[in-house]
Amino acid sequence: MRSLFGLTAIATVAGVPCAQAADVLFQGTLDSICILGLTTPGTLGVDAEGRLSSAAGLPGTVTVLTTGGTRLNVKAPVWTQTPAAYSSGGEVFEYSYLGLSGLGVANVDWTSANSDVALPVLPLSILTVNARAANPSDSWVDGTYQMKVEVTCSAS
Amino acid sequence: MLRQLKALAGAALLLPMLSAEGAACTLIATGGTLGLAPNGTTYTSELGLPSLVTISTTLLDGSFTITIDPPTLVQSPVGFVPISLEQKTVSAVSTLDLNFAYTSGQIQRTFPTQLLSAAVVTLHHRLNAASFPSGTYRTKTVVTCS
Repeated sequence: MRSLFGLTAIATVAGVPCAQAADVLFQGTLDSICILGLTTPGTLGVDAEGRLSSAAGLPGTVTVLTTGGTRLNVKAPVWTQTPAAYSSGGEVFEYSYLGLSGLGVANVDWTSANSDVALPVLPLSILTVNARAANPSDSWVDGTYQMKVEVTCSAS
Repeated sequence: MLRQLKALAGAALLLPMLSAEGAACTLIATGGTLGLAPNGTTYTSELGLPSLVTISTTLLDGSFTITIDPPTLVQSPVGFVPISLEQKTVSAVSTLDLNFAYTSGQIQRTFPTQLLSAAVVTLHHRLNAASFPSGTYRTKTVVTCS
C-alpha cells in the first residue's frame, strides 16, 4: 500500500503543466491612530481688552493625523513662565481653536473649560490654537510671559 | 524495493516542473505588509515589508514569461473608498530586468531561460485614498511564470 502511494505522487508531479502561479498578499491592520506633531509656538501680545493674548500676536499650531475613532482633548492654558516681579493668581485663562482640512468639526470658541471631541478620519490637518489670560488687576509687569495649552489625542 | 520506491517518490516531489520544450520555472513568494504614510493618504509596503518573489529556472533552451496581474483589494473596512491601487517591481539582478514603476496595470516581461537560474524580485503595493478607516486591508496579485 505504501508503494502505491509513492507511485501516485510521481504521476501527479509529472502531470503538472509548465506554468506556475503564486498568490502574493499584502496585509495591514490600522488601529485607531492619532498623531500630533509639528507644533509651532504662538506669540502673545496685549489685546484691546488688556489681556495677554495670541489673538494680538500669533496662534500656535499643531498637526493632527488620525484614522478615526479618536478623541481630541484640549485643556485651558496655564503659566509656564512669568516675570519674577509678577504676582500670579486670579487670572482668567481661555483658549480657542480652529481646525483646518476636516478638523472644522472640532472648532471651539473662547472657553476656560476643557474640551473633548470625537474626531473623524482625518488626513494631515492643522489645528490652530489661541490662548489668552486676563489679569484681575489689569496690570502686567515687564518681562517674559509664557503659557501652554495642552492638546491630547487618544483612542476613544 | 519498498525503500527505493519511497526514495523515488520523495525525489520526484522536489523536481522542477518541466515542459515539453525543456524550460522550467518555479516561484516562491513571501507575503508583504503595509504601513501608513504620515500624510495619511497612502498605505504602502514601502513603509512595511515588500513581497520577495524568488524565480528559479532550469538552464535549458527556450524562454519564460513573468506576469504579475493587476493588484486587487480583497479586504478593507466598511466605508473605505480607494482612489487607486498600484504595484511596482524592483530587481537587483541585471539579467532579470523586471523594474517597473508604479502601475495599476499588469506587469509582464519575457526572458531567455539561459540567462537566469534564480533571482529575487521585490514587489511593492501602494494603496491610495483620502483617508483610511481603522481595520484590516489586504491586497493581492497573482504572479505567473510560464
